[in-house]
Order: sequence, then structure tokens, then C-alpha cells
Amino acid sequence: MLLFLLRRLGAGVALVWVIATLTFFLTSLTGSDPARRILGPTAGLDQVAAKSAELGLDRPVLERYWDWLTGALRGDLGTSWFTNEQIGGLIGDALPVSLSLVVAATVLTAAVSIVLGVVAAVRGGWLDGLLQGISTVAFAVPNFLVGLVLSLVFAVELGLFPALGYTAFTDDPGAWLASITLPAIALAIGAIATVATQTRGSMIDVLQQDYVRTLRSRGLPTRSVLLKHALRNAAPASLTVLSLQFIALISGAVVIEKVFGLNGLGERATSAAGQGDVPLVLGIVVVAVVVVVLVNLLVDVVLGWLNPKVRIA
Amino acid sequence: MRRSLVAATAASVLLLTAACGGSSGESSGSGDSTELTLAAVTPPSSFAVGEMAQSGPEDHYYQAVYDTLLELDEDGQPVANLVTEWSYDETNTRLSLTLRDDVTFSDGTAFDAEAVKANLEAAKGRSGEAGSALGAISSVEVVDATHADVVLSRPDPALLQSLSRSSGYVASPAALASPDLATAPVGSGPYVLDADASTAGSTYVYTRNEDYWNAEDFPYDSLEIRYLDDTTAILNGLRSGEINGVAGGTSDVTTGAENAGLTVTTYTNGGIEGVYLWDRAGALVPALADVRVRQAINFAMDRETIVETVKGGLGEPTVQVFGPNSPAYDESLEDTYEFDVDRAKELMAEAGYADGFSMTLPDFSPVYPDEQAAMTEAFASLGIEVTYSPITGDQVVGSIIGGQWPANFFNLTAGSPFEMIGLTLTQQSPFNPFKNADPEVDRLVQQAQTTSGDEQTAALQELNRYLVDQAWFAPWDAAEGTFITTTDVAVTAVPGVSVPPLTGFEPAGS
Repeated sequence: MLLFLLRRLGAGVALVWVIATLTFFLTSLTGSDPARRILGPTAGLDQVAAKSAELGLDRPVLERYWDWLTGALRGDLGTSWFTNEQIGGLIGDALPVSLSLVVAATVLTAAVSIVLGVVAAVRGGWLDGLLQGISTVAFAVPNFLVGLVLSLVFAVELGLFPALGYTAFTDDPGAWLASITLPAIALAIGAIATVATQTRGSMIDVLQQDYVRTLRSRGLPTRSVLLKHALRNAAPASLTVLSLQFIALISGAVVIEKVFGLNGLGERATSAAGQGDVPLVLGIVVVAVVVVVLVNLLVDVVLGWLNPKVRIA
Repeated sequence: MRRSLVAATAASVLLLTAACGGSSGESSGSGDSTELTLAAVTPPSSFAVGEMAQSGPEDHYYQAVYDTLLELDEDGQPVANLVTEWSYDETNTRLSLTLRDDVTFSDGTAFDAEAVKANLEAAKGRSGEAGSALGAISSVEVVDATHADVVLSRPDPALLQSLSRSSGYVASPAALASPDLATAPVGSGPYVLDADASTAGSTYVYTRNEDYWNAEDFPYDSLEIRYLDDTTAILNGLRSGEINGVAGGTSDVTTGAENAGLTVTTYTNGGIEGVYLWDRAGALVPALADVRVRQAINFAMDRETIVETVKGGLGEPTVQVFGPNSPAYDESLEDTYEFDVDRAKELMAEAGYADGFSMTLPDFSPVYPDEQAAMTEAFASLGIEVTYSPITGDQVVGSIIGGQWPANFFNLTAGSPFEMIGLTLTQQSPFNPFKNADPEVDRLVQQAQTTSGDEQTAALQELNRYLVDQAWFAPWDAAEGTFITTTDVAVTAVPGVSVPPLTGFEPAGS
């Protein structure tokens, strides 16, 4: 198991390096002019040139890459070109927002989709058809549209939730939950449809297995057969889909953070990319990739725990 | 599996709890007249004096913590603030200032002439627009604690306006040399930034400066400014009362706000929109060197229709690059280029371009689709064929200044006629990319810069008449900005600035 983990970890580190390097060169070779953006339209060419030099943009790209890479390895991601804030601090402020949102959406997805998937598989009939129909609609509707409707109805009209902003859990747990509830629901809708469909399919397959029939013939309670035996065997496939959905939720959070005015990683990434704030873009990319790698590692460990054959593979 | 069930149950309970107790998450700002929550479409770039823009949507971040040496009154004219009296010598190269003696910075340092000297010299060395606007200052001489003389290398009629804006921000001299000033301001302003309650790059929370000398001009006890750049989020925040105000942006946002019953305050923001004809010597497009062609282009612009349809009515049609609030403005000039395509074609024919000509312009359609369509239509009516060249957003200004385009749609914002002159008319002007020189323009600029009072106004108006007659530009309108607020907040805007100053906010009905 240790070797398995080390292999995965090594691959993860390599992935972070490759993506960070690609991002650095892609953002550095776009021909954009961040100095002009910082100084505004009235600045003269000499002022822009001086600002470019101050940002280090007059140096060879490889030299800048090396400086950035060695800094990042020391934990120094640099300073935002546009706000003069430390990248580490900006990301440190934004990461809990995004993680709160994505983790809440994932928990919601897991809880709702497993219940829906199991019910659809076990009950069948019209209920199965109804749930599948709802899933199809939920899958088709863009999550930003869901977010807009939720915000208008539950925040603007009814005033049950805040329409904007994020409250840290440590400041006020109730306000924290209120601030992420609507965004998490909007973000989770599509994922719920996907994972519920996967769970339903897996459960139907498992329930047709011989050992399930044997367990039933031995008189085990239905609840025990379903939850203790069938679902555990159906879970790995659902978990794999859920882990993929987690990663998709991170990217989906970009739009949802915009709709709800949450200053998370996605919101910062889009703003930084629009401005050409290369150090901030790089920092966010590195952190996002690290999160994805860690999630994948965690899923691998859980899958290995659920199914020892995975460890050997 | 048991854990999954527990998680599912817990999530459901939590969601129900949130739904029942959701109102606890509503923002502090709404409904309480002592708290003001504003949104800004950009985060603050830097709190270091001299580093910020002259005027922009981020003004409130800075105005909360910094006093300016002068301030602008409701007509956009400089009036006393930290500076109580001021006067120029007869050569307009020495500005004598008298300062308040009852102001301290939030770190306890006293405001005095040494602080003015330190700030102006520090700001002048910085690269932002605020610093660049102080370029004429050669030194600051301290006379005594409450008197200072600003010595200029040349007359700068725009200086008083600049000192009323971001160039006039004053930070504690003890903090000026610290790099921390960029993110941790130390000023003498009405509020103090609460770093613990703020989130950098996102939410800035300010509490009242208890020792502030002019507290009655700032009725709110606390201020929160949120960086929000999404239109939907902004409108939802306004409708739910979580934010109290934001700059309106596009006419779509303004219309949405009006439909939602929010208060919309309209004001001229100093921007002049239209077609800027850069290549007046014909370096790229020889036809533009002929004044008749430039006049024809002006006649071909249906300004009333453009403002109504393209700008949603947010603008005052004009043929002048000096706005209606400028002393250089002359209302009688507005009849110069009444929309008349036949007259425009006659002029084109007289200039030898009856069949038009062609030119390549930057493609702004991703950002200004309607404006570009209007411009294209006007050019097409004269047979001028335009080819649009793709360009990325952050290359636009550099390419214009670099002389890549003969003309383009643009919006230039200036707080004073001298700022517009500095931007467009001199050999050093960034928006005189082909360095066009005209002895008459130079003479009139010189005359305006070295005179004062009625004589200066007369010189500015003569300059304006000459520019309109020679069709140096083809403006469409003096742009109007909007500021949207909840109904419990009243706003007084100042012409010529991007957003109303913080002194302009008060509870409605007070």
C-alpha cells in the first residue's frame, strides 16, 4: 500500500510541475501588456517600459521561469502585479471559500444521489422513470441558470439566504452555512444527476448477482442486504464517478462563485486571467492542481480500502 | 454505508437549518443608516500615494482612508480641504499653500507642511497616473508648519484639479517609505481600514476614524467595499439590500436597476466618446490629412441617434472634446456638424475622395459591438471602407499610442480641459500618436496655460473652436455615468469624476 501511495504521489508531483510549467509559458508568451493595464491609458511609453522592467518582464522568459520555480519550491508564490498582495495570502483567503463550496456540493451530491440511485434501483417502476426523468433535466440545465433562479427566489425575493458573499465558518457557523447553501445546491444539481444515474445502474447490476439472491434466501433483512452488502459492492463505481465530479465541481465553481459574489479561487482566477496577473494565475493553477491530485489520491486510497484488487493494479 | 447515511442526514438537517435561519446571513449593510456597503468593479491596485489612477471605480477604497489636499465641489471645482487657502505667483510657477493645523494621521503623526512635501515628492516619483500628474512639480519648500510652497518647472493649470483627486492623497510621512503602504494605508481620512475584518482583494471593511476633523461630511459609521465584477451578482446584491451602491456601468445594468426600483443617479463623468482621428497628417491614410475629409466624417455622424440607440440615452451629444462642464465648452459650436450626409459627400468630393477610401482599424467589436457598428455605418455612408484588425484588450492602448491606427472609436476621460490638452494636443501627449503639430494649436495652448481667469477661459474656448473647425476629432457625446443605490441612500455626484465621492453619500431624506 505504501509503494502504491508513493507511486501516486510521485505522479502527482510531476503533474503539478508539468501543468505549472505549461501555464507559465502560455501566460508569458501571449504578448499581453500588464504594465499598460496597471498604469492605465494615459501613461506614456517610457512609463510603461519602466513598469515592465519593475515587473521583471524585460528579462528572458527562462530566467523568469527559473526564479518563479525556485520561489514556488520555497513556498513563495510572489506578489500580485495588480493588487500588490502576497499570492499566498490571496489564495489562503480564497481557498476556504472554494473548498467550502465544493466540499458542500460533493457531500450534497453523495447524500442525495445515493438515496435517489438506491431508491430508483430498488423500487423501479414509475418512481424509477420519474427519477430518471428528473436526472435528465437536472443534467441538462446549466448550473449558473440554477444559481440565478435560486438567488432570485430564495435570496432576493424571500430573503432566506444571502445573495452575495461568504462568511467564514470560524466567524459564524450558521452564517457560513447560509452563505454556501444556495451556491452548493446550484453547483451540485448536475453532479447529483450523474452520480445518481451511476449508482442506480451499479445497484441494479449488483442486485442481480447470485450472492444477493443467496443472502435473501438465507433470510437476511432487506435493509441489511441492500445497505451492508449490495451498496458496498456498488459503491466503488459511484465513488469513482463522484471523484470525477469533485474535480468537475472545482471548475464549475468558477461560474457559481461569480453568480453569488463569492471571492473564491475561481473568481480570482478569472479576474487574474482577464487582467494578465500572471503570478496570481500561476499560484491558483498550482494550488488547484495540488487539490485535484490530493483528491485523486484520497479516492485511490478509499477505493483500495473498498477493493483490495485496486491496490495490486 | 452507515457513514453515508449519517452524512446524508446531517446534510439535510444542515440545509433545513440554513433555510430556517438564512436571514442571519444577510449583510450588515442593509437597513442600518450608519453602515454603508458599496461594490466596486475592481479591487484597489495600491494604497501607496502616486500609484493609483487619477479617477476610477476604485476611488472609494482610497477616499475612505486618505484626505486630499483640495477637494472638488458639486460643480467639479477645487475647494479647500487639508489646504485652506492657496494662490499662485504672477508666473504661475509657485503655488503657496496654507494648511490645516488640526489634522493627525491614524498613526498619531501630525499633518503639516513637512508631510505635504514628503507626500508630493514621493507621489511624483511613482508610476501611477496620480504620480504622473505631478510631473510639473520641481520641489516643495516648507515655509513653516502650516505653509508650504510648491515650485513648478512650468505652469500647470491642471494641478489644482489633480490635487483634488488622487494626486492629492496624503499618507503619514512615517509610512511613506514602507512597502507595506501599498496594502496597509496610514492616512488622515474619515475611516481606518480594519485589516482583520477585511479580506485582501475581496472585501475591505473600514471603521470610523474617531479623531477625524470633518466627521459631519461622512454620516456613516462604517463602510464596507466589496469587489464584485459580475453584473448579476451586483444587481442581486442591490435588490436584496446587501450592497447599497455601485457604479452603473452599461445602460443594460442601469435599465435593470431602474426596473428593480433602485435609485439611479446620472452625471457627466468627464468621458468624451466618439471617433478619434489620430492620423491628421495622413501618415497611414493620406485622406485624413485633408480637413474636408475630417469635416465630412463629422457631418456623417448621427450623434443623436447614436446616443439614443447605442448608449441607451446615457450621453450628451457633442462635437467638442471638452465636456459641457468645462470652461472650454462653447454651446454655439454644437451646430457645426449637424448630421448631413449630403454635405459630407460634397466635402468628400471636393477633397477628391468622392468614391471614398479604405483604412484598417482595430476590431473593438468584442467589447463595443454597437459602437463599432455605428462607426462602420457612418464611414460606409461616405464610401469609406474599413477593414478591422483583431486585437486583444490589453494591446489596445499601446497600439493606439504606438501609432498603429489612423483612427478608432475611443473614450478619453479628463477632469479638466488641461488634462485633455495634455492627453491629446501636445507633442508629449500620449494620444497624439503621430505627433501632429499645428502652430495655432500650440499658440492657443500656450496662451491658456500662462493666463488665468477670463483670459484663460477665452483662450480655451478659442482653442476649442479651432479644434472643432479643423475637425481634429469626431466626438459623439459627453459620456454620462450612473451610480445605482438602494432607495435608502442618497448620492450627490461630481461632474468629471468616475464615481461620486464618499462625501456625496448620505441616508436618503436626511
